[in-house]
Amino acid sequence: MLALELLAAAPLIATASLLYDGVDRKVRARMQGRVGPPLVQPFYDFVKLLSKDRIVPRASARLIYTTSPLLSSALAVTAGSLLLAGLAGSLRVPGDVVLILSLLTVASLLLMVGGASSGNPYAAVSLARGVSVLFSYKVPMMISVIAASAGGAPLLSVAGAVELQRKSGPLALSSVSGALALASFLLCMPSEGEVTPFDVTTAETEVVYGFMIEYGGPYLALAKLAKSVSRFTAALLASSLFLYTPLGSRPVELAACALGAVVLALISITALGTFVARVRVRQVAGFYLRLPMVLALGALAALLLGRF
Amino acid sequence: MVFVSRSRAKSPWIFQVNAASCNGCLIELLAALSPRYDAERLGCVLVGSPRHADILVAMGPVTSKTLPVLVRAYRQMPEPKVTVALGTCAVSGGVFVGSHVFEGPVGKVLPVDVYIGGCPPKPEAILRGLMKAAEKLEGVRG
Amino acid sequence: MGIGKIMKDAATRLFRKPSTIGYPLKPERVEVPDSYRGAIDFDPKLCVGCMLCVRFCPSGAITVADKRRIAFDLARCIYCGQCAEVCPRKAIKLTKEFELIYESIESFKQQ
Ligand code: SF4
Ligand code: SF4
Ligand code: SF4
Repeated sequence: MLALELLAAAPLIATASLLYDGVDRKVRARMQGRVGPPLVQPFYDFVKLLSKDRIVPRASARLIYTTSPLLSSALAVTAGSLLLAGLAGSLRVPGDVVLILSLLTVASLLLMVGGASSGNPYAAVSLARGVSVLFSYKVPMMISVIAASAGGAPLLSVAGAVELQRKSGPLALSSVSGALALASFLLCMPSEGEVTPFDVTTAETEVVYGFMIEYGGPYLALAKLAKSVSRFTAALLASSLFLYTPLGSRPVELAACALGAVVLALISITALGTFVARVRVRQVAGFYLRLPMVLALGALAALLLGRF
Repeated sequence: MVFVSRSRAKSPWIFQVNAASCNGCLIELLAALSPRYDAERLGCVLVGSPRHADILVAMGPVTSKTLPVLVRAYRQMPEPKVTVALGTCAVSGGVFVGSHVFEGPVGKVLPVDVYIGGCPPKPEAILRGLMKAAEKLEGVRG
Repeated sequence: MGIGKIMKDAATRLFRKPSTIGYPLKPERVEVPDSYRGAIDFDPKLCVGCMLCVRFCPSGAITVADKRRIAFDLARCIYCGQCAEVCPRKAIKLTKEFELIYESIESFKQQ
């Protein structure tokens, strides 16, 4: 039963992610005073890339290079589907929040390793950068998510957090801990989606798309899919853990939750990326160890103080 | 498979090679991506790796130094791909015909699908040329 | 520009009409400055065959056939306007035609 639901949720999350990418590009363009591409542009890009020739560089580790985009996108889509199942209430296992975040982490790592196995020096530099960025933002992200979902009945699960919020209202608005955790999570989201200002891993002016440099055609399509699904899943996770609003009926609540995810992503990914320029690698680690880390630890402390 | 060929026409990513151009053409190409002309309306994105590209935009007369780079970039692009020769230099060599380092024009070393004349061409002409190149992408099978 | 000003600018632009022109997706006239030098308009009736233009053309875009009939190859032309300047009969004009897009290099030849 659950397997069937996950299978149904997979195309849903993939479509939603690509659609959000279209919204992102359109809004970005309008903020810059341009018309911008049509909303369905990411679908055109995806299909075009899928239909292109497959090229595997001679210097690459062939097996890793060719399978990691597929694996990575599969993991990201699984993470998104698990989140949807949790939201719909059909998945009630303790700790699925941690599982979702870990799947996203492994998906990013796989993609970087796959790209670095192409033998291109830019991709290798990108892997080194990516790992340092990954560990600097994943820690505050994980802490804030734990702080948010520690009150529900199945501990640390989406379903638990949703149940809790259906009783007492959106977490970020009803508790100090929730508000601090949301702030920390929002600051981590641009890194999860690998967008400016924290896209040091794939910066086109510095490392020419980093680990994506050698990927082309279907590989690039899957790599890009993995990225956009991670981006949207993170936003949906934030919306469901921190801003789930009880509105009476389940479908209305879910729609509101999806809308909340789009709004959060527009704020922390689209708008932030338009306003500020890229930061340097060392600044990323420094930044995450300060503000988001302090916010996340504050959220955890507030939670513990409130309980005991 | 209408959707596939349509997607190709709607998402032509461009990779530019400056084969010894004076930068006039390059600046006009970048102007075509600016808010006033906005090539992203057509789905055009300027990419930094030939592996991601569908359209190779070659500028300049092609000299003995830039010839290997140009050919290599073309060979690194996955099929289907089209080539655009941008500017008088790329089309015919212009004033550089007869120079001892002149190896071009682009049409001599690569199969060129669309020629855009002008020195440099106006951004509007570049947009029109890219549209024509995108139509060619729609036609090719691969 | 400070970050505050950028944010204000981006937010207002989001709801304003974009500054992108309609061309080439919509039929819209393109504004071309008066001093623009585009495709060459040559009037053979005025030409006396003095061949001054051929001598002055820096890129060899003008060729001469027998009986001093001259022809232009726009593939070679760099639109410098020298030929129009030196022609004693004003037989050459540089028009505002800027769209010179062809699929073969032969199509650039005029006359
Ligand atoms: S065509 Fe003109 S503007 Fe373009 S590279 Fe050649 S000289 Fe420069
Ligand atoms: S405009 Fe200049 S390059 Fe063109 S034909 Fe006249 S003189 Fe020659
Ligand atoms: S300069 Fe004028 S009159 Fe003389 S050959 Fe050229 S076009 Fe004819």
